[in-house]
Amino acid sequence: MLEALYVLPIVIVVGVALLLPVASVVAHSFTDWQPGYGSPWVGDRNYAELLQSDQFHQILFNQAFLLLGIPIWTILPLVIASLLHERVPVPGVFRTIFFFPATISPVVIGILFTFILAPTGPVNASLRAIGLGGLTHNWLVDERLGKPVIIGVLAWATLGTGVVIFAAALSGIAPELFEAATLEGANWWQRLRYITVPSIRSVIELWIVILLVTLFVGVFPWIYSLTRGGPGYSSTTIDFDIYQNALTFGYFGLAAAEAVVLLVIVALVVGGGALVGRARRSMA
Amino acid sequence: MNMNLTKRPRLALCGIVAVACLTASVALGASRSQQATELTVWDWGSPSPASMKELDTAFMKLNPGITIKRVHQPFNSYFTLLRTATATRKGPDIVENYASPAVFDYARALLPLTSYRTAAQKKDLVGWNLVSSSLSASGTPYAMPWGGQGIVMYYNKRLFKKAGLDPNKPPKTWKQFLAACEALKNAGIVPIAEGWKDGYGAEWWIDTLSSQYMSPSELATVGTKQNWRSPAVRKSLELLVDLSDKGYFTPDAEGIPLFPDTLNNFGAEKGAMAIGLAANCCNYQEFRKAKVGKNLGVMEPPLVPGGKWATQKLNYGPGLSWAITRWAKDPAAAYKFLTFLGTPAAQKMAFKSSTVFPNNVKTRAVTSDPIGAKILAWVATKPTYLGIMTLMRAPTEATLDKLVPQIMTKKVSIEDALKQIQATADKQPKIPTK
Repeated sequence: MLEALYVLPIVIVVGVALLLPVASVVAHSFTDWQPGYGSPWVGDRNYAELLQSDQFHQILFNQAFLLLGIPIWTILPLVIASLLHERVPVPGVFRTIFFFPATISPVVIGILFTFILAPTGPVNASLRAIGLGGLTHNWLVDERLGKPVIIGVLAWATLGTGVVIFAAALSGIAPELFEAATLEGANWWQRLRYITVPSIRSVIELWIVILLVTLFVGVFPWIYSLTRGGPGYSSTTIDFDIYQNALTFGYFGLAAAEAVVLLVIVALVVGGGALVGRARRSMA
Repeated sequence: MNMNLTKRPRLALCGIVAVACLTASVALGASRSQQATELTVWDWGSPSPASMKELDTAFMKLNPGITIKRVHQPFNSYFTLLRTATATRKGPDIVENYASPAVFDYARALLPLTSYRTAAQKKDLVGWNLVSSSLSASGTPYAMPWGGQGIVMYYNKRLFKKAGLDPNKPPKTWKQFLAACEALKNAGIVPIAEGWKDGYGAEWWIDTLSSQYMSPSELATVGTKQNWRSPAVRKSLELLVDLSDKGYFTPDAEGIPLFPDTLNNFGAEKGAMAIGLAANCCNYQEFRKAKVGKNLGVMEPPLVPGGKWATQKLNYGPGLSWAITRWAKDPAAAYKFLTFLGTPAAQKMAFKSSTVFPNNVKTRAVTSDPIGAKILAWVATKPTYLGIMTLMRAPTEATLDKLVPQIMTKKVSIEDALKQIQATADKQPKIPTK
């Protein structure tokens, strides 16, 4: 009984800071929520509207498309961290350089890339200057390019954090393993595949989970500053649409329903991933 | 012991003095706070901050007991912030808005002004109908209309001349307009400086073009019955897409915002024509400061082919409004400020400093700028109208703006886009009837 009292503070904190707001959002998702004013009960109308909405289907597709970025955002920092670990003198300097984008606000990165990728921006100007004018595009306004560009910008923005995390994990591997493998004639790729990846698998999994959660609940600043979800809804993500529905359109109830859908999706993706990981470990 | 006896009365005396001082200062502070009222006013930086500061200062001089705390919010997030304030019932005492039904998107936060408005104000200030329930001048006012605004086209006389066009005879009909665009294009000049990224440019085009296809009754009820699927709106967009197909707009316009890039491009002579506003911002006064400066000309948007008008009318009406929030600390003081803004003296000041055209019928604006004088003459003599865009609600505008680049690049058909815009318009809370 006394033991239960010890955990009471954290139960209260979690309950007040986490569960109550979630319960509130779930309850409001069944209303025509007008914060501060009367919010009549509308049953499942908000959910039905989402299910029938072409825009919401497009948003789900966008979200699924961005999942294609996960391998890039994982493999790229892993390879760079591995190269820094094995081949580069004073790797700390390079780690600092790579980490630099992580210290910049996403909004600043977004605004920066808005200029870089503008029709008359440096990317198009450079392409024209080297005779590749045919490759110039309206990078942020072309429906086909909006999402790949976001994946590219996120690759740049997340690279530094990934490199630092993987570098820290790599430093925990016994150097003898690499030396022995090198003596046995293993090349860099073989060392990466048979030593590095298995040794830091749990860190890689953690990184992927962080990316997944970020992808669903944390890309708002990039979307807001880069494309505003456009053109149309072609680059809108769920978190951006929640903001848009609530604060641009004033559809707070619909935004609450969307938040609940987002919560379910994140729970399924992260929970599913955890189950797969557990099953794989128990098999091993 | 003796020392203690003398110390106690001293301590008691000090205590009494301290308490007295404290009480006096609290009382003084309270009386001061009773006298001074601070009103927080939100705007989006237009009219210019300098102009608003001048007005605020003049008001505070006339009303020493009231302090104006001006907060210039960024335009891009202004309405989001206003919605947040509405939801939390906290924030400014007075807010800027358009003089349009967009006011009703925040109706829950706004104090009805019926009991404050005087008969003279009702008579002298134009535009009460646009901010009152049922869009009727006799309805409940939710804001005070302020200033006049219109949509006109500006052109560059030097570039017209360079293309072999008469700089003093801008095109009036669509045929003449297309011929001018072609001549400019052939001379290597971008005929129309434009940017679709933020949607505002398209809004102004739609307003001036679609209205010409509307019957008088359709145009008269465009505020209460927003029919975005009307043939008039569709035709206006078809004309825009046709101009785009002919290469008359700035290349890659879908990636360029109107504010500020397009307007800067026109100012820098990177386009011969541009659609702009008569007052407040992106108007002749601002273009005068740019490279286009002395070569600036103003024209009416051309008459559309197959339209219902024989001669051009002026797209002009009340531009802005000021509203008092329901949580305002001192609504009477807030209305005093609104009253001041509506006076001829304040409107003259605003016109002089920031070209806010007056909406008080007793105010006569005068300017030495020939372009400004020409627009003022149009306002005085031409029949005016307000189109579907001027009278749309905030969510409808947001949906339209999102779709504009896709419409102009034909990624979304005009029909599909208008269907989406109509769906948003239909979802809006009704305009209050009380």
